[in-house]
Amino acid sequence: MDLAQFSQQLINGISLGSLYGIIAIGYTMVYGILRLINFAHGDVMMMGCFFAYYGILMFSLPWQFSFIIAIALTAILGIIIDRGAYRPVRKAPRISALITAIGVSFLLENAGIVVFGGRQKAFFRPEMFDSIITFHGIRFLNLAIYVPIITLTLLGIILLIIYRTKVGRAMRCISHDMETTRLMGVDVNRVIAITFAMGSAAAAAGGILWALKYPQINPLMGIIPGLKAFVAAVLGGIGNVGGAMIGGLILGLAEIMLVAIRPDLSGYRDAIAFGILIIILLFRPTGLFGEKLPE
Amino acid sequence: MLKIRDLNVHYGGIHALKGVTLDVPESKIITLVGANGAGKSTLLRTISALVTATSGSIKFTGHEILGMESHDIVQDGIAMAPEGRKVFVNLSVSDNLLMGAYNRKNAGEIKTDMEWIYSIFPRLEERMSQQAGTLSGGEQQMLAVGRALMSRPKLLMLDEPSLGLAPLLISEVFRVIGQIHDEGTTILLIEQNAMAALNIADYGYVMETGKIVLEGTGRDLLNDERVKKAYLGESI
Repeated sequence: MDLAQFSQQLINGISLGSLYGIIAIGYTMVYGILRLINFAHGDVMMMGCFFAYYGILMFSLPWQFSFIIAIALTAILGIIIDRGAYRPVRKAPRISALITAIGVSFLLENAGIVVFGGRQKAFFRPEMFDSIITFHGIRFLNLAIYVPIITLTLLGIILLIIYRTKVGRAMRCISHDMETTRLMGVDVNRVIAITFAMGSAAAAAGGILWALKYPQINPLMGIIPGLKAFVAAVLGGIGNVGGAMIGGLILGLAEIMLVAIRPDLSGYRDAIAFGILIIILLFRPTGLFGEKLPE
Repeated sequence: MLKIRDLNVHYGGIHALKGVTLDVPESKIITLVGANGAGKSTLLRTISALVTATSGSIKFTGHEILGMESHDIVQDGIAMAPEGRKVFVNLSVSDNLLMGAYNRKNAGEIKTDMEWIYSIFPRLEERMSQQAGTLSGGEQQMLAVGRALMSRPKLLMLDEPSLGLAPLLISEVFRVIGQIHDEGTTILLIEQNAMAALNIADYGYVMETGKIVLEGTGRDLLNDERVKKAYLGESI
């Protein structure tokens, strides 16, 4: 593999990895606060894509508006899921919440099939993201440049909220000790709702970028990116927002590079993610940047 | 100020509070002493709505607070420094104090109060940007008390503030409790260190297995034979 090829794959890997990363943020934020793996997260991402799709198709919105409205609607969907599904089982054993999450996932997928239909739909790619860049023999869609820029900007905004605002401070306190945080006068349910809104908005943004990159959407499209983002979150140390992005980048690069080096193994692409998951769980269950397990 | 009437709490199959009746009049220090497991912490946790009561009534400044949510109770003016300090170890000292002022909006007042806390606990000022987890046990206790005060409570509840502290620090903690009281805060103090608590308190209650078994002024209880035998003998 020469330098040009390597650079090409590097760009592909970073672009794919930052998508895993932005979706992984939602997993990791919710886990950090509730110790809940929100298995419906990939499906929330799918919903974001469909909101954007119908915004353009049915309401003929300019794509910018449609994307922003879709992100906002997905944030609201996250709040509704928390309110309707997770809050009622907040005090139940953790396994109940996990099963609830799987239930929400099936609900979204199957409701999607009923409402949107199961067939692939072509996602609209605005001209802005549709030009090919040629540079010293490397050819790639300019979207591959936009994706890491947009995801890193979103990551920056999310980190600012978590580390520089009052509600972010409350999030960090809840993840440490929910009960004592209540004693500070924090409306914990409200902070959890905001967490779901942020994670879901990030998933929607990631989903829309995903749909721009692979411009076909269907109600089951969230499953594989969702699972891989989950692996990325575990790899980065679940609960650690920056770690989720780095986990995503590592995963994306690993996948792309394996296929580039050994094209004959391309059928095993998805196996890499789950192989990494198994290795991490065996040797370093707290992930690369995870905090030590609480007492 | 706080009137608890016939409060019953069941807790994982255990009848933890059995018809507790207790009064905290304004601007007094009231203490609740008793052995480990008597239900003292459960009482405070019920007042703060961390635990749900089965029956009874808790009135604060005239209105019922039983059934309200924890954050509304803090907003109403009841703050607690919980047992075991429970500072946010991953946050700095000053961020811990800011958490205590979560529902307050006036940044100027919050700043004034932080300075007030630092004047009570100069050690905290020296360590304001340090992570709370790096503080010693005594400093964490001061932080927990300071953090509770940051909500400007009408009633401050302290759960075992002397637990696990060296004797010198214990007297420091009780000195500070006296100072906070002198500056106008009503205090409900839970202690296993019955001697020190009854000394400082205007009125005391003794709790055993979920029931109030004795009550009286701090002085009376200190002189009570039963109290002497059960609690003071060991703690002196």
